[in-house]
Amino acid sequence: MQMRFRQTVYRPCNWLILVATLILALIPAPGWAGVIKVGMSTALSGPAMALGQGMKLGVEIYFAEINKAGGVHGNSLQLIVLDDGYEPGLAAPNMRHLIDQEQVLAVLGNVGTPTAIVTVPIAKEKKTLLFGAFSGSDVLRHQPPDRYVINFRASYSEELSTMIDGLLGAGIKPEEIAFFTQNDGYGDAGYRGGVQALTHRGYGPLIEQLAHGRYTRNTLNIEDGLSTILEAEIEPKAIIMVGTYKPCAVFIQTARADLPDTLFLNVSFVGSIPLLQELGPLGEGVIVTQVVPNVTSDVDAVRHYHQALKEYQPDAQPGSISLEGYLVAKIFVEGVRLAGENPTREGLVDAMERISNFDLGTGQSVSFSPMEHQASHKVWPTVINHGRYVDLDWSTINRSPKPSSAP
Amino acid sequence: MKRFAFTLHHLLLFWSVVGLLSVLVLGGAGIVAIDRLKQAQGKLLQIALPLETSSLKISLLVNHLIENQNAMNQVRSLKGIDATEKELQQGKAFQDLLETIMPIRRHLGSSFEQSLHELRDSFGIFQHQRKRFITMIRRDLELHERLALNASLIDRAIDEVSKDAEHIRGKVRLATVREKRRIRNVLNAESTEGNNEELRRLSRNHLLGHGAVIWQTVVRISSSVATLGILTRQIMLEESPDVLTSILYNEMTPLIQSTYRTLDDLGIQVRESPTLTETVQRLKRSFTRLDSHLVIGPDSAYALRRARLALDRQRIQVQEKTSRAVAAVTNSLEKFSDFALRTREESALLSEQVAATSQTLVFMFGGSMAIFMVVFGILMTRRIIRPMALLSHTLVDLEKEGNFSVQIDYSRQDEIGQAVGAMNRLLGNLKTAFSDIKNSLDSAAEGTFEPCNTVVLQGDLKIIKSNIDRQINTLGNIYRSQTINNLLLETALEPMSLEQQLDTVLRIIFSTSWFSFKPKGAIFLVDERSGHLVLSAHRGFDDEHLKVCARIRPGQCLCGKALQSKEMLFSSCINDLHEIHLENMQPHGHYVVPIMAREQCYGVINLYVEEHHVKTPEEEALLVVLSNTIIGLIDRRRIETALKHQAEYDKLTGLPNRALFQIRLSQHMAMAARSDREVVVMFLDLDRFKWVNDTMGHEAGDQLLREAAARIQSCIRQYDTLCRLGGDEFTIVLPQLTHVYYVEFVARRILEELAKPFALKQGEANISGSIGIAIYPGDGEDLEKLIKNADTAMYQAKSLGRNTFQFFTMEMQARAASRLSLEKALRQALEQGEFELYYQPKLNLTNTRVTGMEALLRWARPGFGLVPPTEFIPLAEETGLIIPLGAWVIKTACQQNKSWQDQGFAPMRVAVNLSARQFRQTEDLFVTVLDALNVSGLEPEFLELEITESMVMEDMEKAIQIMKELQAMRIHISIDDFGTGYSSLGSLRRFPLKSLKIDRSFIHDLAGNSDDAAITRSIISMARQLNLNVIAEGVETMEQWNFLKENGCNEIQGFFLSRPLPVQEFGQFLETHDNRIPSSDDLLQR
Repeated sequence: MQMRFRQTVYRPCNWLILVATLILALIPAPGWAGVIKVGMSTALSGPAMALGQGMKLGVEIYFAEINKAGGVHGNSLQLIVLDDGYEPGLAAPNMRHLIDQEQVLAVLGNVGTPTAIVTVPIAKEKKTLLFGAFSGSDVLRHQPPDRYVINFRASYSEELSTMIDGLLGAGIKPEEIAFFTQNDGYGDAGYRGGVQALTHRGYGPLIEQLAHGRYTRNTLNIEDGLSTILEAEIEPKAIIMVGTYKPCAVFIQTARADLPDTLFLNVSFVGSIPLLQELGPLGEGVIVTQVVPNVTSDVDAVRHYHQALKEYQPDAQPGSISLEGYLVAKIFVEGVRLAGENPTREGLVDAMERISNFDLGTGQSVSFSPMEHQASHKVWPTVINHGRYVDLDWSTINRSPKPSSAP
Repeated sequence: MKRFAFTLHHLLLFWSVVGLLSVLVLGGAGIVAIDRLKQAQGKLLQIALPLETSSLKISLLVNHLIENQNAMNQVRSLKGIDATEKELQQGKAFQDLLETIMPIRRHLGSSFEQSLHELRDSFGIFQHQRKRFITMIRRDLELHERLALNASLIDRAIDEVSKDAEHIRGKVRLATVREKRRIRNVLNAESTEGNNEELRRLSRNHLLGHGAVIWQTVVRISSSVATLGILTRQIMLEESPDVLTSILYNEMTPLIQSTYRTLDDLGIQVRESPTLTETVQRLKRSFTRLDSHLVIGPDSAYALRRARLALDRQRIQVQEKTSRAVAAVTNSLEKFSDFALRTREESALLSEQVAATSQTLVFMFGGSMAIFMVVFGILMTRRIIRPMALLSHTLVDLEKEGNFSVQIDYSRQDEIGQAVGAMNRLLGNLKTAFSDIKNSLDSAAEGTFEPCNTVVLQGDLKIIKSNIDRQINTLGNIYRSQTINNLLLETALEPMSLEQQLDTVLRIIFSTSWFSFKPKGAIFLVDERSGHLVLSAHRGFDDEHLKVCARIRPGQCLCGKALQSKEMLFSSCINDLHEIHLENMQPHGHYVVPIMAREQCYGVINLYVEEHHVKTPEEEALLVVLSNTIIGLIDRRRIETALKHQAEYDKLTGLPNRALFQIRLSQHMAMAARSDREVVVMFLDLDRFKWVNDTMGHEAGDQLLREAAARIQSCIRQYDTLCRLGGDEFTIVLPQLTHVYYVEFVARRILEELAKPFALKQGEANISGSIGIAIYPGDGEDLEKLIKNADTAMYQAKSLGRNTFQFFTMEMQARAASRLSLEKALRQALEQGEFELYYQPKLNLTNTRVTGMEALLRWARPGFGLVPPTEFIPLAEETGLIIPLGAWVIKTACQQNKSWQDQGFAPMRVAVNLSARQFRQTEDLFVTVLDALNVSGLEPEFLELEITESMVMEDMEKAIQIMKELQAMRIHISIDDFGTGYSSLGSLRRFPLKSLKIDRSFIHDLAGNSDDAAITRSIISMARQLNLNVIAEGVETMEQWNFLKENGCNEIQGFFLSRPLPVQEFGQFLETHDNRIPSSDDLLQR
């Protein structure tokens, strides 16, 4: 009995199989490594397409950088992008498709507030992380924060606060401020931010007097809004604009004729580079607040961003939107790394909340917790000067050069 | 019953057979049971279970299909349909299942077949209905998609329209507002021509007035579009086709038409503004698109809706049919399942029965097996376990108590018996072996170190035995070496001389029985001055050997070579190394061991061994030990000597120091006390020494001390001890004084010597001495008193002016003084001729003639009369005056004797007493005697020299020589005072004698004392035997005379015959006595 058993076990054939298995197990065959799928539903077409394209570019170049270095715990990152054209009606089914069919680990970099209004509930329902949405709206920033919604950028309230502080600090009176916002959740969010800022500073009662012009999303019908502003009792010295670049550009071009001395301030969502391109020379003196550092600033993250851009998308122009996408991807990858070799959706959220003092490379360190779901609270005010964005010094705004206006 | 030895082997064999049989039987029964069970199970497996499984599967399948059916109602997309259609494949699965059942339906009967057929049919119907249903669903879904598309298109179109409308509205408003602003500005501004012009221009603005109209038109259009949107929604929801138609024609179409018209109106209104016109065109186009989606064509909202409604109706029908089919399938399925269940139950029952039977069987056989096992167990216990227990107990006890005398009792001759037997034998052997080992070890404890002589088994015990023997041997060797070592070390401690110790060492070596040295060997020590080896101790060397080996040069012979090379040499046979060959030397070998210490060789040990002796490490080790011990002895001696010397001797002069002085003095005092003698102590102080030290320096002082010591040393005898107490104080101890006035003599000599100048390096020094003398026991019976008195005497001497000696006692001093004067007188006496010889006759008893006389010295000191010889003879001896005096005596005696011969008297011998000093100064004696004989002309035979016994015994050999010489000169020698000296009778025969004079003490009490008589008799007898002339002295009575005569004494001398007479009177005596025996009267008269 014993002899036979030994023969069975110790036959050379069996040894060969055993050895082969061991070797195969040890070879890190790429095909065998895992793929982590990440989703994005964004505006790849339509008036906000620059925003969607920009975020997509930023995330993709960072993922390429990481995958080249071996991925995260041997897993490579794959970005699946669907176009919703900045329409909530398309954003919702995209979201469901990404989560249910594509089985993505998380969704990141979605563009827009109206789209966020439908995608946030889906993320919550499906218990999937929605990270780094390109929107500063408070629908993404509930208090206490939703578990499955984590943001990168400063909120619109924070952007608006910066603007209001700057304006008031520069000598502009609160009643001289007007609003031009998109007629939807995005515009509402921005306006609410402004209201909050003014209320904080004790100008609550004033707010009703302030002119508030609106325009319909995905149209260039800015005339109605402009009319509203022009009908204001006190001619505004500064117009805070919460819109996308094309309508905002048309607005500024049209409004310059009527209000040659007025300052135009935009939130970051407007898309600074496309705005600049649309405005052309008429852009001088236009202020845009940013939620990422200037693309020309000399910090590690920005340097790496430029390198990655050169390597993976040499034809693309650097911009703050793709920089934001890059930074969002960077924080996201850190979370994936902390989540271990086989990250789950829940595990990823937990890992993200464990991120503490993560050096972003911009001089900021990122820490999340169950109570803190926003990476950055910093706003960089910039101004178009000689066809380029430079950091804004508020004390100079009254003296900034104005272009000649053409009726 | 015959009992043959049941070995365990048999037993186990038996039970194995029994066991095997049981197993076989049980196995057989088991097989039968299993076989039957198998059959039952077979039926179960082959029929019932497949049946049940199949029916279950079919049920599942059908249920699945029904679920699927329901699911299909939920399906919303065509993709879902495709997936579910795949389920139709299940039909094949159903067929397969039925196929599996086919084989077994033969076993199951016709009712089964029937239900099977039923099932198949109803399933077929079900499938058919399903297909139709699926088709329905598909069509429904298609329609649904088209509707969705339509809806989205409509939405988009509406959206576009809204946006365009908004645009127009916005533009209009803006323009209006701008106008208003400009007007306000102008109004607010000053009224200028320009401004007025401006105002006029503005009022002509078409747009201003028309703005409101345009606005409203646009608003109308927007509202129409919104309404259309609502209507579209209604269409989508409407169920009734008739109502649909109504909506279409009554509401939708007119509205669309009116909107077209409104659009035209708008176009007209904005014709002035090109941008607005363009926008309106776009608006129109958007609206047209909207219209197309609403009513026209098969893809319009309306058409689609109608189609949808139709489809719904159809679907309901199909659904009903399908439900019915489902019910039928379910029913037949139930029947089928029942059947399967029943079959299974039957089979199960059968299996149970078989199992029960098997169980009984198993129990039966199991029981019998158990009984067998019990019996087996009992037998095992008896045959194996009990004896094993016994064995184990015994062994455990053995382990605990270690009593090897135990033997196990077991009689059976089976395997256990064999083991027990072997164990018993082993125990016996062990016991023996251990006791032998114990004995051997005990011998070791006692010191005899005997090996254990057990004749023992193989293996470990043998090894142990040889180990123990080896160890005992080694221990024995070590012990013996240690013993020798100890003995050797003990010798070091004994207060013997070095040579004696070396001798002892040799003795110890040769006393060891276990070293095979021959009892022959020597120890040489190196003489420090010459570097040669000197034989210091030996054993077994004959005289010749001693002579040859007394001194050995380095390099000479084995010993010399060892000295040179400083290494142990071993030579197993005579060879070249051995230079010195003696006759009769047997073949031998040598160990020659140099005695080394600190790289220096102090000597050599030479031991003899047998010729072919093989050197052993034990011997070499011993020799090393010897060498070390001897070194120890030598060293010790040297150190002792040095220390002793240091402790007892003065460094500067080499004289004994104070300590030794006291020791010596005490010793002499003790000896003197025992032999009732006296000891003299002199304390000597050097006067003016301090002055020399101070003026000439310490070096001069030291030299002076050494010189003084030497001078003093020369004045004293070898028995006397000169000591230096310290500084310039010396002491001299003079024991064994024969005459006290020797002391004065010595003292005077010392003073004389010290008074002579000292020639020192630093110049000449003159000192003197002061001596104090004390005599034991008169001047002190203990050491301190004696010393103190001597010291006091010295100070007295000093105070008397130095350069003098002083006795402690005045009496002594007085006596010294008188002795001094006597000495002076004695010196003069010889010159002054104050001496006179008296003669005492000796009578020959045989012929009663005077055959001789003894010459006795008398001194007539002027003013003192006759001084007895006892007073001046000792002094003469001490001072040496006895020599010239003695010479005078001999000369005078010879002359006188010659004179009497010349006068015609018969020749007589004249006897002269020799003093010890005379006897010692041999050459002077011979000269004196010869001279006397020559001068007198006397024949030597007539001179007799009387020597006392004690004189002879002082140096017997020398005395004999002297006597021989004198006898050769034909002078008569006689022993005086015989019996009082220390000569032995044996030595008596060696003396060349003529006569023997019996001491007067024996004669004195002849009559009374029988001992004296006996002695006298024996002396006479002996002397006569030796052919010696016997003379008795001190004869004073007739009885003595008679006794002596009777006993054969030759001559007599004494008062009975005559007192010593001066020359003249002696002459007269001779005359009257010639040939006459004196009568008693005559004698009384004298």
